[in-house]
Amino acid sequence: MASALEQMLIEAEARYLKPDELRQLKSYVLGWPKRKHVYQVLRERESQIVSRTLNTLKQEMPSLSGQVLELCQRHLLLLLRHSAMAMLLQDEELLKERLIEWVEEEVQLYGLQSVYEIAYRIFQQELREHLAPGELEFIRPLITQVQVALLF
Amino acid sequence: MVTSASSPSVSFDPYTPVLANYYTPSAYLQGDLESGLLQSRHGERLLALPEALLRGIYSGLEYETGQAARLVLRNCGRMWGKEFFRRFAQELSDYYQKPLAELEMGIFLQNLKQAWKTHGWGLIEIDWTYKDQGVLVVSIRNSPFAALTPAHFKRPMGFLEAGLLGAWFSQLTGQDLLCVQTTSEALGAKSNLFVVSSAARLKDGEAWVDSGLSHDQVLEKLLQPNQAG
Repeated sequence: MASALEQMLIEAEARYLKPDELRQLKSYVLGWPKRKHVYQVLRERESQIVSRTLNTLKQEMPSLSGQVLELCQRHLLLLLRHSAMAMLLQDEELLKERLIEWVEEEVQLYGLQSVYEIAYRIFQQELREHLAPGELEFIRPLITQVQVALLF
Repeated sequence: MVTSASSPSVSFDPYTPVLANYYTPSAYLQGDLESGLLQSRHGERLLALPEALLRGIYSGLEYETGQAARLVLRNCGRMWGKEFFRRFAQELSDYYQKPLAELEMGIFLQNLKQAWKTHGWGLIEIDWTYKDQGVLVVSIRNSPFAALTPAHFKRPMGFLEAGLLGAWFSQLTGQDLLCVQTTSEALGAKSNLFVVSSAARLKDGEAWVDSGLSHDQVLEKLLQPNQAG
């Protein structure tokens, strides 16, 4: 499925872009340097953010099995990578198709809801510590969107 | 594979993919506009079935072969199931770098569901409640095969899917299994239900459905101790 931007360009096939469409395109282009910057920050800090989240989670829930921790690690990496890509390309649909549909099934299958309520709280805290407020606002709505889809 | 979560200073290679949904539609389905060909990300050719063709297969087979249409559909389904299992096993073991038998159950099941969905065959769920008694119940919702069943049929007609599932689970378990459809969305049911069990136990299954037994009644008959064998 095409992203909102792609869809707009498809619809404008043989005509000029309308003023609001042009505005949308402009904001996409103007926002690119900042989004690319946040994307690179996330790529660099991924290991730290995820390891620290898992370590804190282990302290708060010492009885978690190795299998659950491994799943959690895999899910956090997927969360960060897909959210980063969705942010970079401004394509939220990508989150749903590539991440939420997959992870929500595993969360149900392994009964991870209560673990993830805590894991996401820690993860959000870690993000706040690794990103400046101006960077955080780019990625946080996407993370929260996944959190809401998985936990409510 | 990512490294163990137990070490405090693990680092993850940002360029190594985290393996998850092999069947993500946008990654799995690849088409070439120029040649008009569809293929999977593994390079296997895919075929798009137009609704008119599916309808034509149902009505053409009925016209040409009458009652035998069921048998033809089931046999086609079996061949399809065998081939699909081969492809599924190959794709997943290449992707996850281990034989299918060593995949975690959760990953295996998730991929099965996603594969069904991405191929456009509906939403599949497997109920393992009776697995110790040798019976599986498979539910498929939004099946295109049920949606296109001609309206004059008064019994479940998903012989293609039944053949597919029977062969698929036979390949998976190495046993001779049969599959019988007990409810159909085409007849107003909420989902298409299928029972899968050994060929010996299910040999009269279609006759039970023909005689009007419901899903629960078929299941009950199948689970009776004297049916075991």
